[in-house]
Amino acid sequence: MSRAVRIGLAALLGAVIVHLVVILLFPAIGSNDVWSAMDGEDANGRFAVLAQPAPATAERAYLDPMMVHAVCRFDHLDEAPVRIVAVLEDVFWSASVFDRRGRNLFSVNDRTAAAPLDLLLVGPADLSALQREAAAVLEQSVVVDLAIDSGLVVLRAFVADPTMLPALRAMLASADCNAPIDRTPVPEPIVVTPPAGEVPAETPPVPAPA
Amino acid sequence: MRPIRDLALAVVIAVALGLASAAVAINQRANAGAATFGPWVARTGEAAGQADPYARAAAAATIDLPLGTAEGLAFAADTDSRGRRLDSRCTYTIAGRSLPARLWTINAYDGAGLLMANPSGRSGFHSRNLVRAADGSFTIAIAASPQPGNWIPIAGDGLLLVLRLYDTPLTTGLAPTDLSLPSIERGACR
Repeated sequence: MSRAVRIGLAALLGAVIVHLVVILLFPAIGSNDVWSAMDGEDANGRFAVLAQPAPATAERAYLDPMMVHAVCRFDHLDEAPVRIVAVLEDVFWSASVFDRRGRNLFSVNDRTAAAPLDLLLVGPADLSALQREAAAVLEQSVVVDLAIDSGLVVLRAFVADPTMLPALRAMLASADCNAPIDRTPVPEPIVVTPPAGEVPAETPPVPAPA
Repeated sequence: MRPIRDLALAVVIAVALGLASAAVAINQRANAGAATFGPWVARTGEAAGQADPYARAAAAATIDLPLGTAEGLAFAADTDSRGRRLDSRCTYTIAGRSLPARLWTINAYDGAGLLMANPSGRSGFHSRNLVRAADGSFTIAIAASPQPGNWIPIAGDGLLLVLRLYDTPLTTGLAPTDLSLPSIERGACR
C-alpha cells in the first residue's frame, strides 16, 4: 500500500468520525437554542406575546406571520410542576411544549383540548407524588409528563385579519403560566349499592324501527 | 519523522473533511428522510421529540418553534414543480385544490429566509381569505408587477415559499393517498 493511499484512508476514516461527532454533539453545544432566543422577552413564568414577524427582518422570521404567538419559559420542572390555564376564543389555536433545543414534545389544538385550556406540566417524581396524594389537580388538568427541567410553552392563535390582532394579543397575554395547583385530595367517590333483593328497573327495550 | 508527518497530514484532512461535511449536512437541513410532495419538502422529524440526529443538529443550528403533531405540518419549496430554483425575477402561478387541513397559510420569503418585503405588507394568503373558483380550486400569482386575483407581490433576490397546514391528518399518518399539494408553475422571467 502506497503512502498516499494510507494517508487517504486514515483521513477518510477520521473524517467520518469527526462528521459523526459533530452531528451528534451539535444539539448539545449549539448556542442557537430557542430558550436563549427568548432572553429579551419577559417570559419567565408568564406568557410574553411575541412581536409579529416583520418583512426582511431576521427576528422571528421562523414564525407564521398569520399567527400570533405567546411564549412562557419554565425552569426547574424537576422541583415543582407548572400549570397553564388559558381561556381562548373561538379561533384556531394551539398549545405546545418545547424543550430548550426547540423540539416539540407535546401539542394540543382547540379541537383536541377541552376549553378552557388546562395543562399540568409535571416531572416523573412529582407526578407519582400527586398520584399518591390523589391531588385534585389531576382531575382538572391534562397531565403532561415531561422528563425535562426547562423548556417553553407556546400558544398560537390564528389571525384571520390584521384588525383582529390587538384582541388576539390581549387574549394570549391573559393566559396564566403559573396557575395555582390544587393538591387537596379528591374525596372518595360515594358508591351507592342497591339494597339486597331489589332488582334495578331495566329500561324498556327500544322498539325496532319499522 | 515521516510517519508523524503523515499522521499529522491525515488528521488535518480528516478534521477539515469531517467539519465541512457536517456543516453541509446541517445547512442543507438533512433532507434525507423528509417527506416531499413535488417541490414541497416537509419539515418533519422534529415533531414529538423523535428526531433523527441530522434533524436534531439542523434544529440546533436554526432557531425554530416547529409545529407539533396536533398543530400541523409546514412545507417549504425553493424550486418550482419542474425542479428549477425559484427566482424573484420570474412570475409563478401556484395552483391547487382543497388541502387536507382545517386551515392553511402560504407565505413568500426571500432568499435569506426572511419574510418577503413589499410595499403592500402582504406576504401571503390563508385558506379563508383566498379567492377561489366555483369548483373550489385556486390560483395564486407570485409576481413583482400587479396581477388580477390572488397576488403575492415579490421583490429583491431569491424566493422561498412556505406552506403551513394546521390541524391536518398528515401529522398522524392518516395521509390521503391522493394528496396533492399545490403546483408551482414558472411564467415569464425578466
